[in-house]
Amino acid sequence: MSAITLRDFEDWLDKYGQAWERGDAERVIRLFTDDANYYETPFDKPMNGHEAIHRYWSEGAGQSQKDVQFSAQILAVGEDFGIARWQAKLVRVPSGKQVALDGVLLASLDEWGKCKVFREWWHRIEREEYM
Amino acid sequence: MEITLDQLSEWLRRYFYAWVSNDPDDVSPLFAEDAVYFYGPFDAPTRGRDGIVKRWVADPDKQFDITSRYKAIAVNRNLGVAYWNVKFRTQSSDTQFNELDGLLLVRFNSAMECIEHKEWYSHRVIK
Repeated sequence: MSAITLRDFEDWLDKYGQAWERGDAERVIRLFTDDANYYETPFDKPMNGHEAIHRYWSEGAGQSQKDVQFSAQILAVGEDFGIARWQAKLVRVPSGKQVALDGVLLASLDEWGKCKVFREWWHRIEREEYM
Repeated sequence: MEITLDQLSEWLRRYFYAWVSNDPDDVSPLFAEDAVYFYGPFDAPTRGRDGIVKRWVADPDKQFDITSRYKAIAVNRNLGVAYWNVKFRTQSSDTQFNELDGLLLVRFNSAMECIEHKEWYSHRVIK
């Protein structure tokens, strides 16, 4: 098992952010292994594999969010994982509610730079329709 | 300055010990005099050791049966990253457990006191 580099994780995180901003579930699943486990919260069972992750992303970012702005900062890179803080601003469809999310993610990557296990902890604030 | 995983683990041990003891003498040495303590990304922080200790021990709804798990997972210069999970009951609702699960970011000074505390977590109630 070769160690991942800062560059590997930067690359993964950039693509993750771009995929989210575009609401493109196809791009998202390219970042994950076929059997990846994706924990959206620590208490829910993980989504497992491309089909489940694709469904989650196409229903979420793809259909019920717009005007997504994503940013992230790398906090640390370990032997086979990276940790980043991230912020996202988006508008919910169809309610028009403005949402700000702030979280940390922990992504374990394989030797091809694909994520095997994804975990995140995040907080949210919302406000009514943005004028 | 560079911290090690062992140093981070030792600080975490004292941090979760202080969570249970709720004793100002255990909480106080964890933080630098000018430490900044964020309770969540959207909440205003508490600034300064005295204020942090005061808020820590204020405990309006006393916790008991506290169990914690934690793991130092990464260090980067003076930053430590830890995973943690705590379960507890509170006096006002002693028939159910609260569970918190999060990631903690701690920046240290050269005395291994926390100068900046940030965390992101989820909460659930287990009936």
